[in-house]
Parts: sequence; structure tokens; C-alpha cells
Amino acid sequence: MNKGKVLQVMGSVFDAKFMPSNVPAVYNAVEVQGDFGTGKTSLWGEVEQHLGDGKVRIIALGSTLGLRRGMDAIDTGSPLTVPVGKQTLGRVFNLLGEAIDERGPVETGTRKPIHHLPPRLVDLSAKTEMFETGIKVIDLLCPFVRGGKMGLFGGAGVGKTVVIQELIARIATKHGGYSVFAGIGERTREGNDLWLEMQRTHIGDSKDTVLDHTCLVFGQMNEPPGARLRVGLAAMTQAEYFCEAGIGDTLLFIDNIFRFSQAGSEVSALLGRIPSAVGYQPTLATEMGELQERIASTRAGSITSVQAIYVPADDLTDPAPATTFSHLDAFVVLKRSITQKGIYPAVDPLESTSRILDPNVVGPEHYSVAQRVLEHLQQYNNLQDIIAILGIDELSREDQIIVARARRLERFFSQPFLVTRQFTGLEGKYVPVADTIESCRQICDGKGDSFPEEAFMYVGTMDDVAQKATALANR
Amino acid sequence: MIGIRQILQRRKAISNICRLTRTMQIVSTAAFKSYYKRWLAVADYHQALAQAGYLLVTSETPLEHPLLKDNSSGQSAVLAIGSKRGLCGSYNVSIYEHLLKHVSTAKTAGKTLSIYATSGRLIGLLHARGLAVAKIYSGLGEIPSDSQIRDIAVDFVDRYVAGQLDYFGVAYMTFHSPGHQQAQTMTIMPLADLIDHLTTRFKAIWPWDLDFEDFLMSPSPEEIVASLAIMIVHAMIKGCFLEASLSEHVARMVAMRNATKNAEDMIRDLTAEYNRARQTNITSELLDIISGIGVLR
Repeated sequence: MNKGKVLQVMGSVFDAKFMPSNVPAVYNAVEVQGDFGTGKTSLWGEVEQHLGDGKVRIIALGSTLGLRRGMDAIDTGSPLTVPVGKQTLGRVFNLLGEAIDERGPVETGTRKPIHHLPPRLVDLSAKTEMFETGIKVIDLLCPFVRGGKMGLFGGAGVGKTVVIQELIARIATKHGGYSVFAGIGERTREGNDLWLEMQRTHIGDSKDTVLDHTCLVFGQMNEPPGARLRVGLAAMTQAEYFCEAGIGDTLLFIDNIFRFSQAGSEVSALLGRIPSAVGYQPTLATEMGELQERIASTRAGSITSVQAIYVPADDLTDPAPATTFSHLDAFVVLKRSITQKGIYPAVDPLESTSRILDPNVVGPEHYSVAQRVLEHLQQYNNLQDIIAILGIDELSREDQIIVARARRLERFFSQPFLVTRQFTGLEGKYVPVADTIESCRQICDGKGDSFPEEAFMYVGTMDDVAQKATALANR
Repeated sequence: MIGIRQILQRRKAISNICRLTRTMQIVSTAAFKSYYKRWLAVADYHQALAQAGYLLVTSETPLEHPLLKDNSSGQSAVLAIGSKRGLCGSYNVSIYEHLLKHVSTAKTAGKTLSIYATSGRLIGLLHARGLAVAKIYSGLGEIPSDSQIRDIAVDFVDRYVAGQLDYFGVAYMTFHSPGHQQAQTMTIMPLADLIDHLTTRFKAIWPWDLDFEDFLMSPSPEEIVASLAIMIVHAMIKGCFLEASLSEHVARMVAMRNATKNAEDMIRDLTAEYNRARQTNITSELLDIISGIGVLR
């Protein structure tokens, strides 16, 4: 047994000294044993730097409360491992692979290390196919890719978590494969809500609840930075196992990937690295790459991931969201100015886009309607200053028509959600993409000009708009 | 953060608009003042006409004139005076909405309504909303010349006299005060309605308030009526154009004042945004340098 001693403690990073001939390798898991004074007897850590002379710098993966110099540090000889396999389904884990739902320990035959190389390029699958969500604005303007990576960008309180929970409710309930949910650095309460919600919701018409097909991994905001930094990898490892085992398409939900970058930046400062732009870690892009590259669809199976990304100060050029951008297939940008209009989901149609919004993938009809919608909205956006200064009456007749239709489209993109029924009192609406395209085409053609704008709020298709308009007129 | 350059670009574009609207506001204010004087002067003349008209229709010997008689041809005509130029807020929309009232009244009364309009922005609006225009008067100045007025009037008068028309009105923006203008219609024919309207509008001194017993008419009552009737028609149509122009300048003045204010607000917001963005940039650059040095030390 390779044993060392704790030498120095600096917040959530500590140093330990081993025999210079037998230093634990980088990323190896180290367990500190002893009495922490709170009934806790062990603390896990991960080796991050070799300082020479047998000294290593270790990130604590749990609270360092009660950690003292001179405690025993034991090298496990391998990176941290988490249990994988079907037994993990329906359970809630922390990043160490310990069940935290108080339903007893999880016995799986296999544990897998959380660090390993991403799949090789030759093993990647090149198939491109659209993934329908039934959310109008997403399906039309930023269609999801089966086996791709989707990002939900948004500042504080614009509805990222609601959208991701809605996607879980919409996709996981129809989905045949398994899902993994990683809760990184978000509110602990949300994890609990999600867990309860998943127990209530059934998959399709079967007896199985969503939870029975889902594995949840949490390292929420109550955890130290080391845990928040590695919990994504733990969830990733469990998802990869389902994918490699050929069980089918696996879904990976991450809320919130920004907390991963943030934890990295906290750790980086403690490790003594020189901060880079805006105080982020110099290794921001590398860390993000290591995680994102592993979310890949191989020939064995695909991982479709949906990630929520917090945007600090609503600034998309901030290094953390900017680094994430380049890894994604589809971006859904949630905007505060749209929530202020009372439109939910607050998707910004002009900034959200998808790699597959291409006539060769989604079909010429979808593509051309999406382009027309974007033209209307762009033109409306350009005219907004003039409208604010001179008023709408000064626009030319053509522009007035475009503005009227753009305003209707904007409102049409609001949609009642399944998971918000208890708040809004509205039944959730699933709109097939073909209906969305047809409805938007009709609005662009002016078929909705005679309906009041209010009739376009929180409805499904154009038929619902007509119905709501009649109801409004009768009121 | 939006790029600093974009903010500056937008601010520049808006300040150009602001300069334009401010100039327009000054021009309209000057025009409004001169038209206001003219309008006050004309009001006296209109009042005198109204008084004379009232005496005519209430005289003891009944007077006969085709313009004073009602007919029931079921044809009515409205001349709508729109704005000469743009940038006057909801001026034309108000006229349009007022015309809609005529359309619905004509419909319920089972009459045929033809709309006549002056050229300009109103025409585009009427076309877009699907209201047919029987004739467009173009080439009129802000206030048409007497001969132009005569050309406009003679057509309607002739048709009225021939019994092909039983109503003619001018829809325009009436001027009540600099703070209050309203789209209304002045009934020109039947003339009795016009005189009635004028006496109430100008608060003409009622004949019994005047200290006279009776009056003589020379050359003959019929001739006086004939020329006075036409005179009233011409004067009132011209008066409508004058008042419409006055209202248009007020509307433009108000619209441009609001636009200037809106633009100034936007410039202020953008300036604040620009300052904040610039300061953030400076702060983050400084922080990068300072923390870099701090780490190296």
C-alpha cells in the first residue's frame, strides 16, 4: 500500500508527501484516512500536480473540514472509479459513485475510471439526423441532432433549468434508451424536485417511470470545487458505458456546464496557475475539450446531450460560454429581453441556430420556412430603433406588414410546457415539426394577419390560434 | 457585452435621426405659428358668412335655392384631406378611421358612398386597407388656390343641383386648440346643415340679439342667395384645407417633439451602456495585468 502524509492544506487543495520512488500518478485517486472530527473518517482527492521531492498537489473531492497535516494519504493506484451498468438506473449518486438516495448501496460488477481518452476519430459515427422535441421554436430554428450536443445558453433566471426539465419530460418519456442526468453546481432543491418529478412521470404507456431508466449524478452548489469539477466526468463515464454496451441511444443532460468551468477556475487559482482572460483558468479550453470530446456518438451507440450553460452577466462573449460554443451542434440562446415580453421559452430566434439547419438534412421546405421566419424577425429587429423613435405609423406599408407578422411569429414561439402545467394552468403542447413548419408558413403568408396578436400566445398550431382568436372575440 | 464599436455606431445613427427630427420640429413650429394667425383671421370672415347664411335660412319670406333643398338620390360623397407630407404621427390613420365611420353609416343607411381624397400618404393607406378612392386630387398646394377650390366645388355642386348627390362633406383634421385636434367631417351640402353647423360652431350672434327690425335685399333675394350659397361652399372648403394644414403642422410638431425626446432617451441609454462597456474593458484588462504580475512575483 502506497502511503503518504498530508503536508499542507490550502482550502480545497492540499499537498501530500509520498516516497519519491513511488509517487502516485497524475489524476490518481487518493484517500485521506483519519478522524475528521465530524464522524467522517475519509476524504477523497485527486492528484493534480507533482511538485518534486515526492510531494504532490491534490484537489479535495469533498469538504476539507477537519483535515489536518500529518494525516495518512493512501494512493489507490488508479483514477477515481464509478459503478456502471443497469443497476445504476433509478439511483442517485455523488461523484464518488456512492448512492445518496438512501436506498442502500449499489452493487455492480464493474466500476470504470472517470478519466480516459475520448473515442478515436475512426470510431465516430457520421450519421446526421434531426431529433424532434415538439417545441416549436427549437424544432424550426435550432433543430436538435440525434447523437449531437445541444447547448441552452442563458443568464440568471431566464428559464434554462425549466427548458432542460421540459426536454427530459419530452424526450425521456418517448425515448427507448437510458438517460443520465448530471447536476453540476446548481441548486440542491432542483435536484430533489427533478428526482420526485421523475418518479411520478411514466415512459409512454408503460409502467416504468422515467426514473427507472435514468441515472442521476449530483455535485451541486453545496459541494467543494473539486467535486463540481469532476462530477461531469463521473456522469459522462456512466453514460459512456450504456453507449458502449450497445444498449441504444443514451441521453445525457447536464445542468450546468458553466459550473464546471467555474469550479475549474476556483481550483486553478488554488493550484497556483496564472489566471487568464477575465480571471479564468489558462486551461479553460483544454478542460472543456476533455469533457466535450467524450460526448460522442460512436458506431456502438450514440450519446445525445443537452447542456444548460449559464451566461455570466448575459454576455455571450465571456470566455466560459464562448469556449463551450465551439463544441456544440445546436445552440439555444435564451434572452432576458424575451422573458420581459412574457414569452416562454425565451428562445432568441436570431441568435439560436443549429448545424443541421441545412436543406440537405432537414429538407428544403423546413429550411426555406425557417429562413423566411428569420428574415421577418431580422427586419423587425432592424426597424426597432425607428419604431422606438418615430412610431410605427412612419414605416412604409411593406415594413408595417413585416413588423405585424414578425410580432405574431414572436408570440407564436411561446408554448405551454408539460412541466409548468401546475404554474400556468395550461396543458403542455407537443407540436410535430411538420405542423410547426406549416403554421409558420401560413403566418409568413399573412394568413394570421386578421387574428389579434394575443391569440398567438401559448398555443399549439394555427388551428389553435384561430380557436383562441374566436374565443377572444366572444369574450 | 455588445461590442463598443456597435454601440458607437448605433448612437451615431440615432443622433443623426435626432438632429433631423429636431429640425423638423422647429420648421413645423414656425409653420404652425403662421397658419394659426391666418386661421384666426379667417375665422371672422367665416363667422360673418355664417351669420348672413343664418339670416337667409330663417328669413320670413321662404327662399328657394337648389343647394338648400334636400334630395334623396342615395349618393353621398366625402372629400378626405390627408397630410401633405409624412412624419406627422397618426394623422392619416385618424382620418382613415374617421372615414370608416362614414363607410359604416352609409352601409346602414343603404347609401352609396364615394370617397375623394387629396394625394399623399393617405392614398397609400386607403389602398392598403382596401378602401376604394373615386378620385385623387393631386397638384394642390398646402392650401389650394381659389381656382383649384372652384374646380373641386363645381363638380359636387353641379351634381347636387342635378339631384345626383344628396350629401357632400369634407373629412379633415379639425383644430380646436394646439392640444386638441380631431378628425371630423364638415357637411357642405345640404347647405342648410352647413349653416346650422357653422352657427353653432362659431357661436354666431343670434338674429334676435341684434338690434334690427327687418332688412332689405337688393338686387333680389334669389340672386343674393345664389351667390352667397356658392360663396359659403367655396369659403368653407378652403377653410377646411387651411384648418387641415394647421392641424398637420401641430401633429408634426408633436410627433417630432416626441421623436426627438425618444431619440434623446436612447442616446442617453446608449451613452451609459457605452461608458459601462468601456469601463468593463479597462477593468478586465487591468485585472489581467495585475493578477499576472501578482502571480509572477
